[in-house]
Amino acid sequence: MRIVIVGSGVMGLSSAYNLAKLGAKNIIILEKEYLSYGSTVRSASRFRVHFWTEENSRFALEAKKIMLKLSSITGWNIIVTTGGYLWLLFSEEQVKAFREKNKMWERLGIAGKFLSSSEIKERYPYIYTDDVVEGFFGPQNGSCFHSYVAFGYYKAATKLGARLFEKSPVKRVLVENNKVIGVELPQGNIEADVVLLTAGAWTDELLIGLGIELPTEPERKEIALTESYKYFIKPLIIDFGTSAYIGQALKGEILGSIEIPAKSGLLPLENTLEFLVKWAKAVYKRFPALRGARIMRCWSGYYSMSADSSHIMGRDPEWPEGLYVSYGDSGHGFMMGPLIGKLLAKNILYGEIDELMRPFLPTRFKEGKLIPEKLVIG
Amino acid sequence: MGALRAKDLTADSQGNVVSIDVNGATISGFTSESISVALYANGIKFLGRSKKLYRPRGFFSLHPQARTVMVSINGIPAMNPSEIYLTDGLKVRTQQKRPLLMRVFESMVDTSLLHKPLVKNRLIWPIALKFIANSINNPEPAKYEISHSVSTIVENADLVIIGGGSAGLSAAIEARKYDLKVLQIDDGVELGGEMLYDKFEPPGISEPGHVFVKNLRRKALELGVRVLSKTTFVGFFEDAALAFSPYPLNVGTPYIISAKAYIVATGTVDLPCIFANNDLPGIIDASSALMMLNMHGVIPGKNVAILGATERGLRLAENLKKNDVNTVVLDKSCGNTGKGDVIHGVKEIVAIGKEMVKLLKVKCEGEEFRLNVDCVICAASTNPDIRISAQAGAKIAYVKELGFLPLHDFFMRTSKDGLFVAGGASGSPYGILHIIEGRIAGLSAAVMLNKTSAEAEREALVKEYRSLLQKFGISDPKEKVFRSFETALIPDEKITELPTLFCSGPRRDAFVCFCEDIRLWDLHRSISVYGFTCLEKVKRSTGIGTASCQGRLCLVNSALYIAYVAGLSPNAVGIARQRPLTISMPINLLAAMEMNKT
Repeated sequence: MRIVIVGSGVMGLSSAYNLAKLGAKNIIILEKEYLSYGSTVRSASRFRVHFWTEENSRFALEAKKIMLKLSSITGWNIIVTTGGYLWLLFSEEQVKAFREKNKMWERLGIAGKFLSSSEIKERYPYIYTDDVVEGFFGPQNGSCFHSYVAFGYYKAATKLGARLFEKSPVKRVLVENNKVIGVELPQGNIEADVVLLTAGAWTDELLIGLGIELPTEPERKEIALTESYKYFIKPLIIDFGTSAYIGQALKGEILGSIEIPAKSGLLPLENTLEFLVKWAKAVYKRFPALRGARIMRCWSGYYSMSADSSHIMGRDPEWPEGLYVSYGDSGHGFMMGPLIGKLLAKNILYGEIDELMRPFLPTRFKEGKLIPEKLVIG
Repeated sequence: MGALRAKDLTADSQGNVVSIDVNGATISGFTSESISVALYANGIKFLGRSKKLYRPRGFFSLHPQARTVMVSINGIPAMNPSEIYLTDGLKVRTQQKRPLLMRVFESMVDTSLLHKPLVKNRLIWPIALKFIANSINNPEPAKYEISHSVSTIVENADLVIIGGGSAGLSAAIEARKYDLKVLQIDDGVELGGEMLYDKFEPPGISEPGHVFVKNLRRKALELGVRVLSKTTFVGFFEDAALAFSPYPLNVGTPYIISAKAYIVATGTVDLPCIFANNDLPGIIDASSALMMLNMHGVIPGKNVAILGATERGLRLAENLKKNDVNTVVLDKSCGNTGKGDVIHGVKEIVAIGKEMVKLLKVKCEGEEFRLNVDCVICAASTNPDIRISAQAGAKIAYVKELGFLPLHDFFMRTSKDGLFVAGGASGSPYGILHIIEGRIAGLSAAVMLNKTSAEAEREALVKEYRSLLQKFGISDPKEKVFRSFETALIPDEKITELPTLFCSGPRRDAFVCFCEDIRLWDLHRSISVYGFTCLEKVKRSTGIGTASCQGRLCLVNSALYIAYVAGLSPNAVGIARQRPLTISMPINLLAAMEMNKT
C-alpha cells in the first residue's frame, strides 16, 4: 500500500511512525516548507487530561500515557514534566461548573483539587489572588518539549523506512472513480492508495478542492515569551477571567498568551501590538512577581478550529476511498497527536475504528453528534 | 583613573568624573561611558557567568542589542551593562562564583539532553529534572515597580530611518530636502554610527570620519529631522511599529510608530571568531574596540591580537599603533600581502586564561607559537545587520562577497513595499558608498511618497553610485544582488572557506552562541548525527538564536558553518525567521502602554 501523508507536524509524523511500525512499507511524508513548519513547534508545548467533555478527557488520558513513554519510544528526550494546570476561577458559576465536571473526571480517575483563594496564595505566592474565588488544580497535566516530540517521531519513522520530502506543497488530492490515486505537487504527481491529510490549518483548502466541506477554519493565535528566569512557576496557570495563561519552561523562559478578538483565515503569521500589550496588562495584574520580567519574543500560529472545538480524525465512508484526515484540533492537537497517530494507523491498515476514536469521526457533524469542548485555552 | 586609559586623551567630550561601587570596590569613570566601558578601563573584564556552563563572561560587543553578559545594577538583576551609563554612586554587582556541583551536572544541562539511561529511568528522571531546572544560571525577575503614568508616545512620520550612522543621516538629509517628515531612530548615545570612531579618512571621503559625520549630523538636525537617541527599534507589528528606550532608567519609554516608508540603515555586525575558549572575557569585536579607543580614550589592551587582516582589522591595527599598543594581526589567508605586521596562514587558535584571556596558542602552517595577549579583537568578517529587514518580510539571500543581505535594487528598494535599505545593512563596504546609498534611499522614499521631482536627482546619483561600485571593486557582487532582486532567482553560492573559523574540529569549547552556551560541537551534532542542514531545524534542535540577543551574533555564523560543513549553498541553509522583539522589554512597561492612542 502506498501511503502519502500531507504535513509533517506531530499528527503526520506520529501517524507515519505508527504506520511504519505496523509494517506499512511505502510511506511518504510531504511538507510544504520544512520539518514541522506548522503548528506543532509553535504551540505552547503542554499536555493535559482535563477536558469539558468525557470523550476528549478519555482520549487525552490515553494520549498522555504515550507522551510519558515517548522518550523511550523515539530515543529523543522530550523533557516531560508534570507540573499540573491551575485554573483560576472568578465566579461561583465557574466553580460550580468545574465541581460538576470534577465528578466526571473523578470517574475517570483524574480528579483534580479545588484550592481556596488563600491556599493558592500559600502555594503560589506569585499570584494575585484577592479577586480569585477558587482555583482548580489538575496535577496530572504537564509539559514537554515540542520540537523533540516532532523530531523524535521523524527520526523513528525514517528509521523504519518512511521518507520525508520538504518544500513539497501539495496542490490537490487526485481522485479517480471515487478513489484516491495520488497527490499533485508543483514538481509532479505522486501516486498513492491512501492519502492522509494532517496539514493542520492548511487542510481546509485541500478538502475544499475535493468538494468536501467540514465546519472548520484556521484561527491565528499569538504567543509571547520572556527571557529566562529562575524556574519557579511549575504549573500552567490559566486565568479563566481574561483567558490569559502563563507557564514556565525548564530552561526558564515564561511563555503565555491571551485571547484577542478572533481573526480567522490563513492570516500572515505575524504579531500584533494589541496582543502583546493585552497580555502584558493581564500578567501585570495577575502575577506581580513578573512585572520586571522582560518579554523577548512573540510569534503566531494557527489553531485549526472545528465547530465543536474537538479534533476530527478518520474518514467519512462517502468520501473517495483512501482519503483520511486528522485536523480541526482546535488547539489541543499537539497533546492528542501521539494517540491520534496510533489509532489512525490501525484505522488505515486494518479498517479498525477504536472506541476512543469513534466519537471524533468526521461524520459527527452531519449526524449531529457534536462534542462541544469548552476548555480550549492552554 | 584606570589602567587602560590612553595617555593622550584624543577622545572628545568625556563628561564628568563619577565614582561607582563595583562589588564593594570604588572605581571612577566618566558620565559619557557605559558601565561596560568604565569597568573595562579599570581592567575589570570578567562581568558574569554564562547560563549553562557557568563560564566567565565579559561583553563581546558594546552594542546594546548584543546582550552577552548581565550584571546587577542598584539591586536590579540582569541589566545590560553596555546600555546603562555612569551616574554617581551606582552599585554594580557581578556574578563571580560558580556552584561547586556544576561540574557534575554540566553534562545534564547540555542542549539536547539526550541522556537515555537518565531519561528511561522513571525514578531518576524527576530528580534529574529538578537539578536541571536549578542548575541553569538564570536570574530572578527584577522586582521593580514603575509608576503607571509612563507616557506612551505616538510618533507619526512619512519616513522612519532606523539607524543614525552615515547612511541613515545622508538619507534623512535628502528626505528632508523634499519636505518629508523624518523620524530617525538610533540606539547609540549620539548619532553618527561607526564613523564617529574614525580618526582617519574613510575610503572615498577626504576628511576624517568623525569630522565628516558630525557635519552630516549637524546638517540633518538643522533641516529638522526628529531624532530618538538611545532608542532601539523593537519591531514591526501588524497594527503598528514599536521602539523602546531604556531611559529614564528603570522605567523606559515606549514609542508607537506609524510611517509610510522605512529605511533600514542598521549597519553591520562583527561576527565572533570561532576558536577554542573564544568566550573568555577580553575577546571583543572590532567596533567595540574602535569605539572604546576613539570615543572614550580607552585602549582595549596592552598586547592585542587582531583576528583578520580585513580593511577593518588593518584600520584598527593602525589606530592601536598610534596609541602605542603592541598589535599583532593574525590572518587565515596564505602568502604575504605586504600589509605590515600580519601573520598569515593561521590555522588554529586556542585562547588560554582563567578569568580573562592571557595567552593565545597559534598554529600556523608547520609552526606553533604562543602570544601573550590581554585582548583579542575579532575583525575577520562582518555581516549586514539583517534582523529588521528580515522581520519586516524582505527577502534575504546570501551573496558570497557581501554576506546575508536583504535583496535590493539600485534604488535601494527591498522586496517589501515601502522598505528601503542603505549602507552597511545592504552589504556595502564602509566609506563613501554608505553615503551615496543613504542619499539614494532617501530620494527613493521621496519618490515613493509622490515627490516626483526627486526622480531626476536620483537618476544622476544612481549613475555615480554605479561608477563608484566599479571604483571600489564590488560592482560584480552588487550587480548580482540587483539581478537577484529583479529575477527573484537566488544565487547558488558555495563557500569553500569560513573566515571566522579558527578551529579545526567541532570542539566543545569553541562557542557559537554566548547567550545559551552553544558550541561548535552542538551544531556539528545537529548536522551530522541528526542530519539537519536547514537553519530552522538546527535552531530548534540546539536552541541557537533563541536567546536574548535574538541571534544577532550567532545566526549568520551558524548558517555559514552548516553550509561549510555540509557543502551546501548558504542560501539552501537559509537564515531563520526573525521575529519581534529586537530587544526585550519589561512587562510593566508594556502593560503601561495605552493602545487606544493610535
